[in-house]
Amino acid sequence: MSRLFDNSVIEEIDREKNRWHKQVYQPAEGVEKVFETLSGIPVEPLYTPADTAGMDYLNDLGFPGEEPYVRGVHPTMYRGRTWTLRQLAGFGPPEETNMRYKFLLKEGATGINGVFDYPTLRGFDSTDPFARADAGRGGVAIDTIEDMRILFDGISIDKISSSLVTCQPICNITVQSMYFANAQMRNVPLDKLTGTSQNDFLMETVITVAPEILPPKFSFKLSCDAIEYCTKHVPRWNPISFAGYNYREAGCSAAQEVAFVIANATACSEELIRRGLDVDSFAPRLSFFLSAHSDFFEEIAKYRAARRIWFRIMKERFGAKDPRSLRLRFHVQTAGVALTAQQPLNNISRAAYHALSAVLGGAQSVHIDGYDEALCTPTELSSLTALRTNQILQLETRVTHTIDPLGGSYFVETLTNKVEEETLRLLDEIDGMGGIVKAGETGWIHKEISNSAYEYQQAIESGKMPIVGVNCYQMEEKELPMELFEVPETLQIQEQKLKKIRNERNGAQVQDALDAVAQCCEKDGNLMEVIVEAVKTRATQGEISGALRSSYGTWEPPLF
Amino acid sequence: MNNQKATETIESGGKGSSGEDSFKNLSGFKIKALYGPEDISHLNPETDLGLPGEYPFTRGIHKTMYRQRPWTIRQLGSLDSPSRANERIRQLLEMGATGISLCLDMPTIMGRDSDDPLAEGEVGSCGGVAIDSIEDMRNLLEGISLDEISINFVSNSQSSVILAMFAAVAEERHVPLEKLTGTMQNDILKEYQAQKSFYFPPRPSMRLTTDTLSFCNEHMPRFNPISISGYHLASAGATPVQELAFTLANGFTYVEEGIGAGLSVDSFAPRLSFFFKVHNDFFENIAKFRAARRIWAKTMRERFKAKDRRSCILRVHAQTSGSSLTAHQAENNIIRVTTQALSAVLGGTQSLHTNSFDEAVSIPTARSEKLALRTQQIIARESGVINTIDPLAGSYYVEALTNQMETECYNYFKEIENLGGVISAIEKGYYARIIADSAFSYQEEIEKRKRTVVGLNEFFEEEDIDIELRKTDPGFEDEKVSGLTELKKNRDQALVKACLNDIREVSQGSNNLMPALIKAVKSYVTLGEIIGVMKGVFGEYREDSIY
Amino acid sequence: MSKGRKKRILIAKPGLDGHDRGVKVVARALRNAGMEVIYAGLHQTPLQIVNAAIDEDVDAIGLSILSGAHNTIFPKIIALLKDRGASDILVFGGGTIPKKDLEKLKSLGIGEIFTTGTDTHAIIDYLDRTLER
Repeated sequence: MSRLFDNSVIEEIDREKNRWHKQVYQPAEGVEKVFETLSGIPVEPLYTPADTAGMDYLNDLGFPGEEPYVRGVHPTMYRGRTWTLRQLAGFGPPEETNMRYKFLLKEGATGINGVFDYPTLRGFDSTDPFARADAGRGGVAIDTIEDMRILFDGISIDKISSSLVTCQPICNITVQSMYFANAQMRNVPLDKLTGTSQNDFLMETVITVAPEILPPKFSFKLSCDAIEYCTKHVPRWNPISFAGYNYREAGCSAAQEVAFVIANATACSEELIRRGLDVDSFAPRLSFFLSAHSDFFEEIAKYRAARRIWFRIMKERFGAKDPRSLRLRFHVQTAGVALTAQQPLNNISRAAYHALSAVLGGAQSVHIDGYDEALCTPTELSSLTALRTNQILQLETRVTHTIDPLGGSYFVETLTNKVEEETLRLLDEIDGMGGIVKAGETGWIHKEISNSAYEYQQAIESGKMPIVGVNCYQMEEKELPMELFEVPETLQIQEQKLKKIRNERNGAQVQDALDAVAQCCEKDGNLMEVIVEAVKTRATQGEISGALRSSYGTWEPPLF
Repeated sequence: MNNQKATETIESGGKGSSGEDSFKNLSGFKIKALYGPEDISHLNPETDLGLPGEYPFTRGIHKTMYRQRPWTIRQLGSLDSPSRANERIRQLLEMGATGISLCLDMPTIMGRDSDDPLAEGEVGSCGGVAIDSIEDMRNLLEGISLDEISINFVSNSQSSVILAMFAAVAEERHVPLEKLTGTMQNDILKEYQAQKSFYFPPRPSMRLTTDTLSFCNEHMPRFNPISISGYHLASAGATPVQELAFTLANGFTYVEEGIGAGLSVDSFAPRLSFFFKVHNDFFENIAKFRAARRIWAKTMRERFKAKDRRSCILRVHAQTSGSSLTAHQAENNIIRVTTQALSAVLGGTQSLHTNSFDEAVSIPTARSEKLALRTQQIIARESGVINTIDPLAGSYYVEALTNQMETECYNYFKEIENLGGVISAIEKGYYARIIADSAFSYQEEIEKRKRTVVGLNEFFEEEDIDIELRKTDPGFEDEKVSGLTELKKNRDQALVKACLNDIREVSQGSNNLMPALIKAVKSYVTLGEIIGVMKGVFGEYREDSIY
Repeated sequence: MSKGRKKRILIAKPGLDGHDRGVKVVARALRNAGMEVIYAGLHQTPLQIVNAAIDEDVDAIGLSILSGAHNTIFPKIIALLKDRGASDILVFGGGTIPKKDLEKLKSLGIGEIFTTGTDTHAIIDYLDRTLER
């Protein structure tokens, strides 16, 4: 046990603090306003060594790159290598997005972060009646392997790390397969590929619900299939990125965000072990995707707590031996929901400090939202400004010069412990229900998030949560001071392509491929193995998803 | 516990970048990979940190800090003509600013009226307001509640005259002098060291300073008569630790002078305030503010035997770093200003000015001013950092850095002492040498790419940027000059002459000049005339050019 | 002008402004580059500058103007040099000067203006090139 100060000193500090609080601090007016973090954790006026007296430095904090990883997952952190600048890009037909990727890489981005349009995310072709109006919106349209080829044309996929924000398994299983198949067709060995897929089943069943979704347990299965496939064939790929960011955008609190991603990761681990995989064969590649929201210190505490919790679960519950299994690695996106349509340039300030909290919390990669986030898909200027924000933080503020600079702060350590407590309580509750898949099926998660979201909105409307420009310091604004982004024409382009492809491909081959998918569902085999081959026949995403829906049926999520 | 060993392992085993030396902060301190409890093993939380509002005030000078009241949002509100400046001030107050800073134009700064031949082409320059006579002060303050709004006059060598005009206008408006709040920068030492808008040699300048101090002591007890400024030293090139050391040394010199003029330390020290720059290095800045508070408190108590706790409190106005902003990719400056502002707040500043993003190419427009203001409001209302006091206390890094800053300061104090004190050091060229060296190193580092400035020496883009000089009303200078001519024609010439004689006599003696100045400005004697007479008595100072 | 002798440059800040960080950095850079620098300092009037330039037999005058008074000061300097038959002295400068004013100043005879963000080497190269002729 290594204690920082001996007991008598702590007692004295505590006494002095009580004196200070009663006699010096008490505001003249009497009843004090309540101070809470964004997630509702009460915040005291002051924290002293007495608040962290019970901490054991070696066991609770340790050193970077070592158990319990609270101070950072790597030994050198940003002194050795800065976080990856990973800016999102994706819109319209793949030809357009390909150009934006190249632009960002030229300007200094060190990885690709690709988003897909709504039809693609939901498993529909651009031309599908459900999808037509949304083709090219919210991301790039991918219908066949041909689109994947165009999207990465001229980009060295063996050297650059590509994050595919495939959101949910129904999208991931096909789109990811297309990426791998494309690589094979470019003679890039799968074991050279680096990157990440989102592939989070909660995204599909709880967060971004769409028509005709698969039931949670099948969505979950697709997710695990992809992880299994990658573990065997694409060992440098992170096959899943638990999307805490999206849960947060939907309205949940910081502790819920951490609890849900960890519960999800735990469930995946259990399933993969059940399938016969060794925990150390897949755990090093599980990755996390978290938000950086408005409450500066709460976010920093959240990241540190998450690392400690994950470490303990992996070590104690799953008996992982490889140190890489014990590290919670995460990508951060600054909170879109915290940005405003009013006075959009203010968002530059917001995103800057959100990103700073991510960095002080030890993120492995960061995407900063564009200031026009609330209005449109980012323009080139706002993308560039966001990239520059990252670069200024990295190169000018010198926060990278030392590791975990806030370590030891009485406040930050206490808050870290508090977030951990709350998160563990939620994890226990989920365990009690039988795990996260069950919690999704019964609608428990939907309810938790929906409650938090409602409270959040109430807080804004009552003014309890000030948002500059929205509920305070509003201004009359006659016109938007910037250019909005116009999504380029997509539907017709994709339509043409699909027509051509349907004419040129071998119909019988496609049908065989789709049959193979159906059979695999029946036999409970690994679907990615089958779909990687299927996409090579130029079967469309819609056709493959259709086959899955036929086999698994669709699900009506509970309404609140 | 062996953090030392761990650090060695980290530094040798990890993929460190070439040259661990590259991890230095702006003050040149080598930053370790990791800080742990043993880096602050000698820290005594009670004597070194204390509690907010209690000696040594490291954790903050007020007991409730931002939980009860956020820092003052103090934005610059001047524009060439007094009436336009008045308009801008009212605009800012409406937008949510809670304090105003006013700058003077070049001629006024140099003690010259708008009709002075040397003022040609510079009247109303640089967004500063042209003040020639009490009439201008009246227009400037039209409709503003002098006892409610805190105005910071960025006035130095001429501050005795500006103060006289301010007091005179207050009296005219029947506002009791003892109700007036606000600040006069009035820090002549930093003029010799950095900003160079001095007129007289150091000794007479110090006399004027103590005159204003005594006057405020007696008549304007709520007014801050000196804002001891580090910002200008930093802008001239001083590193953060040099800024800290030199500013505090100047502060101690003023305290000595005040005591030398017969004032008791507790009668004026509570009203001394400070003005620091917020540099780009996020943590270094936070450490600087905390070290500043601790050093000031200890010195005031131990060396100057201050008894009143308010004498030991270091109150800070901070401004984000103008010299860190770029002309290229101006939107990037919003980010710099945001992180710097956050750093100032985490460091516990009492008031803050955030620069506009177009700083490098023009005087702020209303729009860019507003954005700068909003940045502060976002930090105050949305980020939650105000929820607790001194949140970074206990952080091994921040506490270690605070201690290191403090130690370095004492080294500089020793050097200055060995040279015979601040004024003697000025005369010996000590500051000129150090600041010129630091400024040159900085530029060298940028050109050699050892120091990155995004958009300038890294990630550069071809851009069609241009300087946007504020379009001063072309007729403004003429208008001002003719207005002044009128004023001079219509005043009581005999009275003016008598007042100027009076000033000459008092200057030659040792009585307090303020009463004579107030009488003079009420009689429409101009600023240039007053300074002219003083120059006749005190002489003019020329510095040795060291670069 | 004979080749081989060190270039002599007068550096000054005209007008009322006292912010001298930039002008001093430039002065030092030129000195480090092997030029002979005469630093006239602050608050110089155009007449004082021209007199000093002629007395010191300089090749060029470098001025720093941050206050916006360039349209008044530069033309004065050019006129004074012309009066004294010293128009062969190169005049250059730095500061906050917009492009359209620059065009005008160049047409009056100013050699070059270096604005915010300029590398000191750009100034040195310019002087090397221009004064070799």
